[in-house]
Amino acid sequence: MSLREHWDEQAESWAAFARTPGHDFSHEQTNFPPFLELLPPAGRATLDVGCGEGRVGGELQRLGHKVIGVDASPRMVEFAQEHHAAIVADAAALPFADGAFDLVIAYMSLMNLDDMEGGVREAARVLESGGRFCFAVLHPLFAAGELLEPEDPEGPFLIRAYFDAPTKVWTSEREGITMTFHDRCIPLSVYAGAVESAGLLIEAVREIPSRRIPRLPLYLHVRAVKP
Amino acid sequence: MTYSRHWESQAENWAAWARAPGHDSYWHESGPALFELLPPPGRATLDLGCGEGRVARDLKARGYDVVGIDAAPTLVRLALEADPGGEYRVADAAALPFEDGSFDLVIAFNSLMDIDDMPAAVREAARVLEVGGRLCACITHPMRDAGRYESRAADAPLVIRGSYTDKRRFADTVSRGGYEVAFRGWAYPLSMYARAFEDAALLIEAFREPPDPDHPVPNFLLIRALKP
Repeated sequence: MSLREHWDEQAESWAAFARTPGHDFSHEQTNFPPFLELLPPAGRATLDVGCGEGRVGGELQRLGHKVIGVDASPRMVEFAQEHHAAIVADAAALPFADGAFDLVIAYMSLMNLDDMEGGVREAARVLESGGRFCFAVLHPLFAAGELLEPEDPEGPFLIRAYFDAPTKVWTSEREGITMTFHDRCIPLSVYAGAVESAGLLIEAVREIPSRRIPRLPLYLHVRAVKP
Repeated sequence: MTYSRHWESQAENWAAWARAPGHDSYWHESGPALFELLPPPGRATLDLGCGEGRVARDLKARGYDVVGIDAAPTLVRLALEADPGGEYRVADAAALPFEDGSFDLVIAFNSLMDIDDMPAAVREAARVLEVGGRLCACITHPMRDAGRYESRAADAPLVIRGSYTDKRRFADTVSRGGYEVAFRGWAYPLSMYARAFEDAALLIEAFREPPDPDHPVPNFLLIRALKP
């Protein structure tokens, strides 16, 4: 199954997961606040690549951004349209003119693209010169490893593979909401290689510690500029 | 003790280690990755933390016009002895004795971890670069620095027992093949290096993670940054 099909199938579960207040505490408390700080102020036009059910674009719209979202899943796009303009599109073949945006974001979506490099190349193409590409991903260290004892966050964390680490498939079942995640491990240099190939320059890198395991970084945030 | 005084105390040990052909990963892992990352030879190259000078000598052989600086006088003397026509100076990386824009390339090869004030060294590297110049750094991979391989098995995992996110001191005395060096320095997470580059207004063009043929996690992270 492609990642696109997986996410389309999970759209209802994902909307419940993302929209139930307090349920996605990692997004609310750990990941999204520092990501917002990394973004430039609202400008001319903001594209949200892999917008999902639209909570991120909705928040940006409240902050003054003019947001359009794209997602490969038709059912996700229907949800997103409850928050902001959104269309079904392939991130690796965006239906926008060169330079159409001054900000492109990809919040926790690059790991879920079937063609990550193609998505970054297209993000760069639709940016104007001087525009920014900001993304958040699962940190490659965290994605590559696991606690020796899952219930002991202070115990050893083991990395058995990095360049070819297996995708971690896991299911969250809480408060009557069941959601299955496929966490791909993409090495830092593979993300950076996609940014480099797209002709973007990295201005800022942030590592967001895990709340449960504060000694380890859970998310990686990057801001890049199109020269 | 400052790390510059520590490396002064290790100067002879380090020169013997560094000059034994094939002895360490410079010869087959970090060195080739550095030379692949560099822009072609230009006007003037600064080797920041040149040590006994092997990187500077190899750069000169590739056509780069190199000045080396190091805070440890004995290392500078050893570099000069191995390259009598070369320019090597004792200097503090955080207060470089060069004008703004003196270089089009600054190299910090496995030295940013051993400098007492890393952010100041990055700021000074940016200052002495001309607009359009590059800083190329090789560092111990922050992920690798956070853990250890606890068995000799080929598939041994990297085990992280302590912190990745904090700035920490590392100390490891390694004896191998008749050579011994006491390695001392700082271990930083990636974002502390990146913050130093950001604060120095450098833009990162490339990250490289050359694979370690024997272990899952890369030993080195290479960064090429542009002064816009």
